[in-house]
Amino acid sequence: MTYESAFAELDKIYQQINNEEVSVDLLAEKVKRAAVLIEFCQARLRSTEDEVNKIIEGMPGTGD
Amino acid sequence: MHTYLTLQQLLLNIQGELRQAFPASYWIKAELAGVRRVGNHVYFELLQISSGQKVAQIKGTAFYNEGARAIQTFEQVTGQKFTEGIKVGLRASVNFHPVYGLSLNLLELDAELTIGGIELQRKQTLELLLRNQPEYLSIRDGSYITPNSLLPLPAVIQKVAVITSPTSDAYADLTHCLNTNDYEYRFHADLYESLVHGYNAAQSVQESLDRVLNSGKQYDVVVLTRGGGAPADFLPFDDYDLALKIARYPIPVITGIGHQMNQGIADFFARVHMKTPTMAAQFMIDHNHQFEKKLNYLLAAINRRALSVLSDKKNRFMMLRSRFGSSTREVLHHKRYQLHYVKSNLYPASFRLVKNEDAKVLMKSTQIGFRIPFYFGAAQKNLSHLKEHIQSLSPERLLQRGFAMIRKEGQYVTGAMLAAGDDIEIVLQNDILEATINKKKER
Repeated sequence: MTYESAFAELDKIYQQINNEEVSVDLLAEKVKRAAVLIEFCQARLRSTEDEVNKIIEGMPGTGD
Repeated sequence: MHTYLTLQQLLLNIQGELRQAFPASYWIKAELAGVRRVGNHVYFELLQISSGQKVAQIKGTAFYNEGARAIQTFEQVTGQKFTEGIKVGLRASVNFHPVYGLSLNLLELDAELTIGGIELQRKQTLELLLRNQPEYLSIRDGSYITPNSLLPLPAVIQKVAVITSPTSDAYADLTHCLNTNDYEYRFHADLYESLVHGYNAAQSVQESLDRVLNSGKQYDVVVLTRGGGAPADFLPFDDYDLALKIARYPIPVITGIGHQMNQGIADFFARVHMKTPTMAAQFMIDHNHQFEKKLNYLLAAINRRALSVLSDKKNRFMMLRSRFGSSTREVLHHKRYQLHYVKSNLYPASFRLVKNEDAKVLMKSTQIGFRIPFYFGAAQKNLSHLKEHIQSLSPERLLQRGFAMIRKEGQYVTGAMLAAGDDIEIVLQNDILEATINKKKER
């Protein structure tokens, strides 16, 4: 699973819920799936950010 | 006895008579022949040819002072040598010398007449060439267009075939100029010996042109030249066959024939016309220099462009690098925000959805509650209808309306169970009648 596919799925679930297109029977299942996706995305973001910061700090002459 | 005159006396008398009879000087047109130079004097013959026949001839002299100077000026002005075969207009005095006899003493030459004659002849030759060889020769904007004049010059001229006389200075001048040029360009010049003056020059130059082609060497140009300085005759270079050969020659021809005044037909038809060997050499040096200038210009342009491309790329790289960190963080930040947005809205949305469903359920239940009284009312009504209907069918109500029931042996019966002679009870509303059936018949 990539960040983009995870986020796309998450966004879709959100839209469905927001537009009340999810039947109550499936709602719990969807929210559970959303929680998994959120956790995945957050983990990916955090690890990427750490990695990027490390790389940028390692660059010579980067004034940023 | 005869009276004798001495020979000298007689001839002096003739001289005296002639001086009286022809005291002035006269303009004469004649053809030149047998020109000899002795010391500072020039001796020649003047002829008049009419219909191929010589009709007049006389000796001519040009003495050091007037006459020889007139010849020198004539050669400088016309570019034509004072030589056999040309037509001249001259002013001369009649001279008779007891020893040397009758002669015309040249005082002045009419350059215009000779130039006109040469030009007339050249014009006639050119007209003939143009008429006979239209596939090779044409005139555009006053210039002659020939296959040779249209040949492209190589970008750099290096291999040169030089057609000239080895005894003239032309070859030395040309090679000296080529070999000592300021730019240190290297030329490879081969000499092809040829006569370049006099009657046989036209033929000799043509043979040299053939030898250049047959050499098997790839020459960039052929330089046709002859010694500078001395005035020289045009005639060989106005030759019909030589001019045509140059026009059709497959290698670009550069002429340096040394005409002071005019161009010959060979000049008209060649790729490049220069006046002297030195100028022909200089043309080739300049031509090569043009190429080098072009190269230097390109080099400078390439360097400039390369430097500008390099600095442009460098700038863009620096900019990209300086923005890299912030842009990456921006992107991450944006992603984080997106995720946060979804996350913070997802659970409320879920609850909202549940709540909405709850509300729908509640509404249904309310609707149902509202409907129940109506439902029971209707059922009640139906029930009372039914009750009334059922009550209307009870025996009591039937007896009240005048109907009767028949009982036999204590049991209510229908007609099928009765026969004649049976004892029955007829039950009315208030009374019971005991009876016997007399007769039974079909209704």
